[in-house]
Amino acid sequence: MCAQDHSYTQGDIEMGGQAYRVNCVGCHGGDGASVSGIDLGRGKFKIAQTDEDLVRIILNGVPGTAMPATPITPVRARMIVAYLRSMHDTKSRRSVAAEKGEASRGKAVFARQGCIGCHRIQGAGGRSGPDLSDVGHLLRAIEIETAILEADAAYPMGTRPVRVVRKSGAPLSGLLLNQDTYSLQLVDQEGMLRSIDRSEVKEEGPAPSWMPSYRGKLDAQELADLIAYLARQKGAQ
Amino acid sequence: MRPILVVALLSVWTCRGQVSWERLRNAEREPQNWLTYSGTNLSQRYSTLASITPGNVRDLELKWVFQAASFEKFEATPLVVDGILYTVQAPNDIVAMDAATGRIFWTYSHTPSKESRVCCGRVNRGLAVLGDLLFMGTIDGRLVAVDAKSGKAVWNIAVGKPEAGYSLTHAPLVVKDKVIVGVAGGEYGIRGFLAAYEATTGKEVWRFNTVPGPGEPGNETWAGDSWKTGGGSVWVTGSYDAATNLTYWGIGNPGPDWNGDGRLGDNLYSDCVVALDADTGKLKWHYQFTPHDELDYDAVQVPVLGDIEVQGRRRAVIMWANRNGLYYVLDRRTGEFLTGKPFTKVTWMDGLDAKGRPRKVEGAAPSKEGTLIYPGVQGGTNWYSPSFSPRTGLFYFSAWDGSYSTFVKAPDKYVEGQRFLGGYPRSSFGLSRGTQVNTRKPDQGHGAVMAVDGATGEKKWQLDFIDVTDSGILTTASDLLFTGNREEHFFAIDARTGKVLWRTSLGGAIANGPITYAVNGQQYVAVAAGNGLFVFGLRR
Repeated sequence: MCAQDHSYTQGDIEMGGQAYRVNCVGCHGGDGASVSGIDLGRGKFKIAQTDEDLVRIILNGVPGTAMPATPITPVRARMIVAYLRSMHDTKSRRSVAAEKGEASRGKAVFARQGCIGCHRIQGAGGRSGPDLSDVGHLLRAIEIETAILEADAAYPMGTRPVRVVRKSGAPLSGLLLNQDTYSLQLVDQEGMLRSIDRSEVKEEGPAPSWMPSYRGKLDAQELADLIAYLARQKGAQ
Repeated sequence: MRPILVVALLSVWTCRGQVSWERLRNAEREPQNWLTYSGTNLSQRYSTLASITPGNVRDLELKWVFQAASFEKFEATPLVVDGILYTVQAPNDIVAMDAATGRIFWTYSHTPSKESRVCCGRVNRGLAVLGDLLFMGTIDGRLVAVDAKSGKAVWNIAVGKPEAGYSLTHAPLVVKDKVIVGVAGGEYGIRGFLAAYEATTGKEVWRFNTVPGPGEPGNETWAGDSWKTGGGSVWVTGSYDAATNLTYWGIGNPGPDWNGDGRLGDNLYSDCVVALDADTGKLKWHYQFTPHDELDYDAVQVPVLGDIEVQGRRRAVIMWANRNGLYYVLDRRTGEFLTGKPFTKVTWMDGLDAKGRPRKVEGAAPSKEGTLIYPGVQGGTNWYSPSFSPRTGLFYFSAWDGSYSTFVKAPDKYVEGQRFLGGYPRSSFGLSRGTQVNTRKPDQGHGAVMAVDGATGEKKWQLDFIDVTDSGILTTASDLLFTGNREEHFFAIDARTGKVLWRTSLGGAIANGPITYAVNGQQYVAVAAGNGLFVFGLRR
């Protein structure tokens, strides 16, 4: 049974995605299919009938299997369920990429299109965008495709761009890594980690993403190749 | 002659290091010590120690640190008795230390049963002391008395069944010769109660059911058998007024939390303050902040007692910033409602009648598709200890300003030992510790220290943070306010203006109340952050 007990907001799904990447991705993988015989993105579950069942499984584990209890709150578990449900929804969405991609060609696309200027993989590349060394571990192919094609796509790597105008010096844009009442921590467009004292800031706000949309700039095969290359990036093994 | 001899011997036994009821009753007379969870029975968390002042607070330096061998959240407020500091290393280890140096005298370890069930962390908020005994509630539903000199258990009794979700997380309250505790477990369909135990033996003396059964007044406010699983937990320490011999306690939410369909009625005494005769446990009066709550607005805040002028008349009052987003003043002798006023955005109600009953907004309740309501599930404030300064007349508390949740209602069925919630809230703030990284947007709400006029609730100042705060508050006779937040900062603030005078980063979130005490004339301020207890004093 795959009936959805509840409607979930985009915020639930995004937070669930973050929690999934922290708690679940190690075994289940970004695509939810890394454990043999289990595909979390299929929208159907062998031993779970309802979303409540899924929450219980996440919280308590499955005795006699490798599935452990997860030390998170029930609310967080429910958001993971929201994300699992969305995996099914986005899986059923039609991809515009060619059916089969070739990772080696994708590597060339990555270089040719300038991705490498902002993104780093295995120690090579720019730093103003998220490091993609383990993007294949964290995101599913459809999420990678969405991030490439939608300029305003959510920030699945957990960062959002901000613009800061300091009392002295030029305005600064960067990806927000952390903040408190007195300071901001970000990585700027040159890839430098910066900690900025708020007392030095006269203006602060969200910045438009500097990740361009590649819709129309890549043909279906190039897109499939690029996705195949990125999906292979699973971090240091 | 024999009785005289006994009295004489007792007076010898109680002359040094022992904490008599007389000392506890007059704890404000010995500000060098911190003898109860909230400092004194009035629970003002106000100290007359004044060596640390706005003028020299910048000279505070770290004197010592205690690193707990625990990764649980450090929610305990220490006690200080004549140079010895006692605290709890979560979940249930008592540690006795030299209050001037942090050197450990002994550790008592209680290993909780594997049957323990706690909703929100294996935490403990502190201890009580009487004579030579320390008292600690445990997360497996027990109350333990431990010898304060040796660290050996003297008695250890069962208060509630852990397998049914009963646990003890708050610091007990001693009144005369009794130790009073209540049970947590509001997310497990418990039936809450407060009980008093003989301090020397652990024998139960009285019990007050926070969810009344058939034949008890208030049972009619529960539909059918819903009282059997009605929650009404107690997880923060109460107060005591010697003038009335009443002990005051805040009671938790009704169960199931987010679906009230099966428990129609006001659900007394959930979300109430109850005033009980300290000798008998008999209810003198109650006031319900949130009737028929479906938003988890526990009234589990410390009842702060004070004598202040209200509407032109000096009155004995309770001051209360409630999780439901309103600040209240009640007459503590009668329970009469005097004042109620929102201190943050509130959308579940739009007014109070003359008796203080809220007028609920239609539709502002959990629903199948989810209903967005202010304040969020963690409330406008929560269990974080507030403070009242008789000098400034201001009531200070940690708030979550502008926070909201989307409350979803779902069917639920009670099964002993399992969560009984009736839905869930969706919020942008987490409870779990996890990463301290915060990239939230400003419109999701934020933390603040609020200072309101104790008599009227009128806001006098507010210090905003980017992240929320779970810290308690301490004020002193030099008009300093000490508090912390999740951003790992610890502050000294001008209690009259809200200006930050000194701050330091402790590298861990603060989720407990700071205290102050003195040893050999040196004033100290202690606060736990992350997994450590940090103690500050002036540079000498």
